[in-house]
Amino acid sequence: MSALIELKNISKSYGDLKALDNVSLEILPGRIVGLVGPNGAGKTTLLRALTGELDYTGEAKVLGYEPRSQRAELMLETGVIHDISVLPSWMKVNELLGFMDGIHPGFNRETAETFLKTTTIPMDKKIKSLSKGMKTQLHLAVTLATETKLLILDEPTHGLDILFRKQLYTSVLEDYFDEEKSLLISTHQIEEVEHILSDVIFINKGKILLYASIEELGERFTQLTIPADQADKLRTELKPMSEYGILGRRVFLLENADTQALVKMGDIQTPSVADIFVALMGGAA
Amino acid sequence: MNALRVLLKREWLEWRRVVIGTILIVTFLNLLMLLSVSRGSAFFHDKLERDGHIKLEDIQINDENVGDVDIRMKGNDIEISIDGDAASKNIDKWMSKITVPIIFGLRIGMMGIFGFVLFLSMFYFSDAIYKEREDNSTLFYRSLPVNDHYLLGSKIAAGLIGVIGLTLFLSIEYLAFTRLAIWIMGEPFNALAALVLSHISYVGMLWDWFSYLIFAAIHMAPLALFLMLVGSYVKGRPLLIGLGAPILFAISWAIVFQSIAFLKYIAKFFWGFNQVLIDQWELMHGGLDGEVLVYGNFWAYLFNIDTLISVLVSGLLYYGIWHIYRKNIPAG
Repeated sequence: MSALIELKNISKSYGDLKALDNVSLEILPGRIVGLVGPNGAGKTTLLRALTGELDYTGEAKVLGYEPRSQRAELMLETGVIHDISVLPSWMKVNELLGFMDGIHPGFNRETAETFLKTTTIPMDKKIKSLSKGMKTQLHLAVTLATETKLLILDEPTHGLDILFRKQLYTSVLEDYFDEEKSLLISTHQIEEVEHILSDVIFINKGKILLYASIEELGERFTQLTIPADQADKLRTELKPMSEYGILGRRVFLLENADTQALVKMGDIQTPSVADIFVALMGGAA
Repeated sequence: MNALRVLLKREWLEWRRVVIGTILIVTFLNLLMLLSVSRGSAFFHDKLERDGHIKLEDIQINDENVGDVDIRMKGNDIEISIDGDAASKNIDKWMSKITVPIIFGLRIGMMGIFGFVLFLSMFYFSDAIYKEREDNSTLFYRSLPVNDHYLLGSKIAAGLIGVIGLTLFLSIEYLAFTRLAIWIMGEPFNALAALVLSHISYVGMLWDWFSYLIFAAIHMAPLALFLMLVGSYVKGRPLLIGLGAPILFAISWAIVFQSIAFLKYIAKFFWGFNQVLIDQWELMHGGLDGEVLVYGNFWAYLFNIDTLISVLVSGLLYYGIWHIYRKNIPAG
């Protein structure tokens, strides 16, 4: 199966700051990939490189297209929702739908209008008069109504309330995703999306720290909960990646550990992606 | 091409209020003109009724002495005599001679309209990309399956079509209002106007004007693209920076180096494409006959070194705009 996204030694610098540092990876089609990293890690830079919005060094192929030189062809099959509001503020909602209808051959106006009927967005209002949440809903409606193979969401829930955040991912899964399509979601609120991800990429300071499927993460990382009085002894033996205390017990996060042996020491479970991420970042509670 | 059509429609949707507002303003000014004419004609009608005739003394057309013109009503008929000679052949001769300055005068009015539209177009070109940067919609447009040349080309095309189209529309409106003004003035002015207008082809005049606008658009394109370039880069106030910075630089250069070279260049740029009108004015003084003044030398005006320089400079500026547009530099 050919890769959906292929990156080889992608680098991007802003002056002295290396936003992307020799990033190489392959993402297969039909996956829901989470791109996780702290603020300033390079998530948005990476996504903008994938959509041809900025220059970079190295080689990139997305859906078989080179993003910089074949951006228009690539965007025919790719939908993007950015981390900031990007819809033209002067346009009215119905004008935006008319514009999309004329400019994108894959856009279905009826689908967009059906989605918008489930919201409180007035069709005759200018986009600049809508709330942030409404703008995101509108952008989502327009993007989901466009037939594409790849959907890129760059921190789409940034600044939105919990109800809307839940609704957004539900809409994306129910109305967009199928085995023919792929999703790439960038977020620093991993706990919101980890339940829908098939793969996860950890990025920090422009470098890829880890790229694995959720199943692999479950096999590779283990969380061990032990009584506090045994922590000192087991810490030396097990050398956990990270640990924290809770309700008088210590929780260790271990990599490539022998789970058969760990069962005798305490309670084991699969750690959350967030806990793995924090451990890899070198943090500790 | 469908993408270009949709993008041009987008520009219309965004700027239609400016276009409609401009039409309303010029229409209002034309109505004011009609009001002034109506009041002025009342004065002449009173004089005609009181004195029985109007005498215009020592009339000259193109520095050529015509003589005294006497206009009197005889029942419903108008009698015009020049230096006592009422022969229709001679009247017609002088009426045809007055055609050229009248056309030139009408063109001055149309130039005023063009100047107003050009002034407004500077706001358009400086804001065309800047407004996209302000609301980050450049990211939206570049997430669509449309290449950058269509996105930028649609803005340039919309600006040029808008300037030429709006100027032509308002010029036609202006000519219609001048014709209406003559009708309002009533007799004998209607009869006088008929004698003059019989020598004028409005279609020819408008075609001539359209040709001139094409010529002017080519020569103003570097300024338009320069303003777009500034708008694609600066953090704020693109028009102020785009116009102010070169003027400030030229003034500073003049003060520091006591050379007005840059000031002369700026003046030449803004005035230079009016050389056509200057040439025509000179020709008039040289003495033309009563034919409608067509562009005549259009191809010579169009295909010359200045046009080539304009096209080359415009090409370079467009490359700069495209290069910076792709970087999507946010506005302040």
